Order: sequence, then C-alpha cells, then structure tokens
Amino acid sequence: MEKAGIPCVLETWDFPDIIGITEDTFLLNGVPEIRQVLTPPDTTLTSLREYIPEFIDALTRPLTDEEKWSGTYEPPGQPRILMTGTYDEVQSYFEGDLTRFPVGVAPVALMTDGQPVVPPTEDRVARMLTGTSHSPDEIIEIKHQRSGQVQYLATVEKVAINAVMAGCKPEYMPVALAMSESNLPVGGPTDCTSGQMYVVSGPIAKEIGMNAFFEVLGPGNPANSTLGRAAALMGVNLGGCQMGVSTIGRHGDNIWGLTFAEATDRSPWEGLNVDCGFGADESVLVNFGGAIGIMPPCSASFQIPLDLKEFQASMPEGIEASLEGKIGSIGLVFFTPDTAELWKEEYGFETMQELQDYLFDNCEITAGDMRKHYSFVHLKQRILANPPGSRTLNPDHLELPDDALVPVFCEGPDAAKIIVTGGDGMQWGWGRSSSVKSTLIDKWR
Amino acid sequence: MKKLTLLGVICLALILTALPFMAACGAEEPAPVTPVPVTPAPVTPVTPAPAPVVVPAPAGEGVFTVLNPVANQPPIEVHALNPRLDTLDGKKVIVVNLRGGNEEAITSVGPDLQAAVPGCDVTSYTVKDKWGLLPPEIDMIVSEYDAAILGHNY
Repeated sequence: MEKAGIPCVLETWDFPDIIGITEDTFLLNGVPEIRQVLTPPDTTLTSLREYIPEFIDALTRPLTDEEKWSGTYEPPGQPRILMTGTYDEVQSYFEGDLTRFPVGVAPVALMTDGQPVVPPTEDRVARMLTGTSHSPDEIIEIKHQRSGQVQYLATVEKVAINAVMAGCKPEYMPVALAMSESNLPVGGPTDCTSGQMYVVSGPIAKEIGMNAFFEVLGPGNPANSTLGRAAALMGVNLGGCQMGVSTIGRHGDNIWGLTFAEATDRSPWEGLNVDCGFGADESVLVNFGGAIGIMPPCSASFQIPLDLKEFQASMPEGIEASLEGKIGSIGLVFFTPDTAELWKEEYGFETMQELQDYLFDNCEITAGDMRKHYSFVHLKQRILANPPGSRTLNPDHLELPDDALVPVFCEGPDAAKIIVTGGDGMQWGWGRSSSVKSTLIDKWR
Repeated sequence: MKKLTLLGVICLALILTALPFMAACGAEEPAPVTPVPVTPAPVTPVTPAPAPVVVPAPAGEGVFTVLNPVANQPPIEVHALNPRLDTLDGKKVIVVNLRGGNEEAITSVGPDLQAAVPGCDVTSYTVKDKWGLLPPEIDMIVSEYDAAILGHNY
C-alpha cells in the first residue's frame, strides 16, 4: 500500500517473534520503516479504542530521516562458521532459546525440525559436496511460492550443510539440490496449511536406494527419510520458515517434506518424468506443495469381469467422487503397480494421459457449488486467466447456471496426477495438493 | 680378634648403657614444663558428603566446529514511506479488515476513529479474499482515499 502511494499504518500483535517476522517481511518487500501500532496478542480483544491516538499519530507525525530514505540495502551476511562446542552444546545452539516463547505457546526449535541433528562440520560438509559436481559457492535463489519473489540466496554448500544435518549421504545431493531449486516451504507469514511432498521419478531413485515398494510412504528407508528431513530443514534454514511464528497453520501439515520414489520401472504407463515433459530416462523431482492431504489407501476387491462404474461405486468414495469437491486443486491418485496394470488391462487406459483425460471429463461439480467455494474470489482469478473454450476451468464456465456441470480440475487434465508406487497387490488412494512443480535432478549430479 | 673375656663384655655393655646418661649429664638442664589442660574436642555426628557424580565424557567425543545452515538475504530496494498527512480533518481514511484474525477488534477502529476525529471521513472495509488485498482493491483505495489503516497484520 505504501508502494502504491498512500500513507498507511498496520495494526500488529505486540509479540516479539511476530514483530520480528513482520519486520523481516517489510524489509523483504522494500518498506522496512512501515509504521505499526502494536496491540496486545489477545484474541478476546474486541476494541482498540485506547489505541486510536496511536493510529492518528502514525498517519500524521512527520517522517523521520530513516523513513524518508530510499536506496539499496545490503543485508548483513551470515557467518560461515556458526559455533564450536560439544555435541550437546551444538544441539542446544541449533534449538535456540526455547524459553523465549510466551506461556501457552509451544516452543519451536530455531534451526532444526525439533530433532537432534548431525553436526555439520567442515569435514562432513566437504564429503557431502562430493555428491555433486557443482561449485559450493553456486547461488540458488529461494523464491516465495506464490509471489515468485527471491527471498533468500542459498548456495550449494548451504544445501550440503542442511543435508548433513538431516543425515543424508553424498549420493543424495542431486535430489537435495533439486529440492532447493524446486519449491521449498518458504517464509510466510501465513496461517495457511502448507506442506511439501516430493516424488522422485527416473533412474536416480534406484541408484541411491530409494523405496518405491512396500511402506513407500512410511519410515525406514534411509534415502526417503533423510531426504524428506533435508527438505524440512531447508524450509527452515533456507526458506525462513519459523514454525509457530511465521508459519502458523492451526494444525499445520503432517506432510512437510514427505519424499518417496515412483515405481517407474514397474508401472504400465509413462512415468511422472514424461508426464511433466521430460525424457523417460531423465531423473525428475516432482514437488507437490501447499495444502497437501493423502487419504488412507483403499484395498480393492476385484471380481472379473469388471465394470468401471461399478468398480468406482464399490469404493467408499469412488475416485471420481473422491476428487469431486477438490476444485482448483491438484488431484492425486495413488496406484500400486498391480492396480495400474489392472486398470490398463480391464479399462483400456493405455497411457497415463488417457486416465488423466478420463478424470478431467468425469470429475465434475455444479457451477453453483463452484461459486460457493470458500475461496471463490481467489479461484475466479485463476479461472479468468485460462483462455475461453480451453480444456480447463475457464471463463465460459463462470456464466453457466447453478445446476450446470463444470470440471473439477481448474488447470485441465494435467491437474490430475497419477502416482504409481508401492508394493505388490491391489491398493489405491487419493489426495490433493495446491500446486505441482517439476525439476530436473540430473543437472545437479 | 682375641676372644673377649666375660669381664670385657660386661664392661662394654655397661659403657654402651651409660652413654646416654653421660650425654644427658653434660647437657643443659631443660626448663620445667607446665602442663596445659586440654579440653577434648566435641564429637558431633557428621553425615558423610555424597560422593560427587562424575559423568565421564563419551569416549572420543570432542568439540565440533559447525557451519551455518542459514541462507543469506539478497540486496533489497528500499522505498521511502509516503509523506504523512498534516491532519485527518477533511481527509478520507479507510480502515481495512485484512481478515487476519481479531476481526472484531480491527472493525471497531473505524467508528472509534470517526468519533475521535469528526471531520475525518472514515470508511470501514473488509477484503474479499482471505489472503489480503487484491489488486483491484488496492487501486480503489489508492485512488479514493488519503490514508489507510490495515489490520490485523499476521
């Protein structure tokens, strides 16, 4: 608003960590001296009458020399060496002062995910850097997910430091670097649920021993687990996420860095790497971000011959019904390789694209329900951006009567993502995310 | 050596025995010592101090010099704030509810400001989108108002 041209003042809670975050945000957006009226952090407060004089003062008191200054600000750099200490002292340092949080607010660690970390010594980081041919000084821009603004400047070495902390092995580095390039849970402030899920599609998954078999979504596999942890640590240290301070989802997202592999070699269809526009022999990181949810998987009981509609109706929520209501989202469908094989043989979906087309054409919602979407104003902007008549949720649909059917997938068939992974047997599941992005891993080898 | 006669042995023994006496007889006579009464120290039961707990450091653990995992921030183009108003009298001020929580509190600011500055034209406004002002709203505010109060900032 200040940049737009009129004087303004913000009302902000008088809570040190929030003030710190807001000041960081103001600086990042080029208005560090923006005036604020600090009010008690009290959700029961119904009146700010006693603060009216402060609002008036903020709008009328002449600017100081600092407030009048404009130019380029160079933030102080982070020291390369953080500290020296025993193992316990290192852990305590990374945790930060947990007593700084007010009563009733749970303490959150400063530079970790709440768990002890592997001390990132010079030697360990040097060994981690052998996993990539890229220079340790190479800059990686960390951008805000929505605005695309460059918020932080990481380096290959910084990624290696976080990978060491997570317990990664050097051969995992290309994936970790692709994570930093793709889409980290960056900054805030936000009270929205915001998570990240990473799927590795392509040869590197097997090379580094990732799991795409039984318990693919569970713990136990070193590559899956430590890479997922590295993503979470990078969100904190490279993306500026301070959990509970700048990122304040009511419940948060339980999928904050979930990482696993696609069973590309056991799938009857093209892999996600091809679906995202890369070659079948290329290793790609597919990142799902935003509000991510994965429903418990369903085991299918099949009776041959199968009717597709009957199959769908036999599930507690058929795939179509599961995805209906997820308007504007990325719809995720999880298939075990055996289930994908069955869908190919019984229903004739020769390619993943054919299934995506089917889901786009058959997952619908009424126009009336579309207009009742809790964030329809935001959704409408996306709809208006799609060309009229295109195979998406587009402006033509906005004019339809309430009982007309419109597609669930705002961005077209590609908004339905089929993830083939897991152990032997029949099982399928579904989920959603707010966004999807793909990044080539191979260039980081 | 010739065999000592019994008489010789006896004489030698007597001489050896008499030697200290002969030395004492030649020394100065010591001063008399007055005995000092000694009060025996009271005996109180003493609880033995607990043995100190010694936790040995894990074998081979030393200190770690660790590198900094936190990224740097890029250079930032800073904008000066807009000049303030001389007075709110005769001005149009908008109070924007950003729907960031505490909505009842920020909503109360509009009427209270109007009461405090009757000559000011105060408007209360609630954003349409949950996540802040949309560009058309920003354009509207900038074109129609002289100043803005925004809250709750989150």
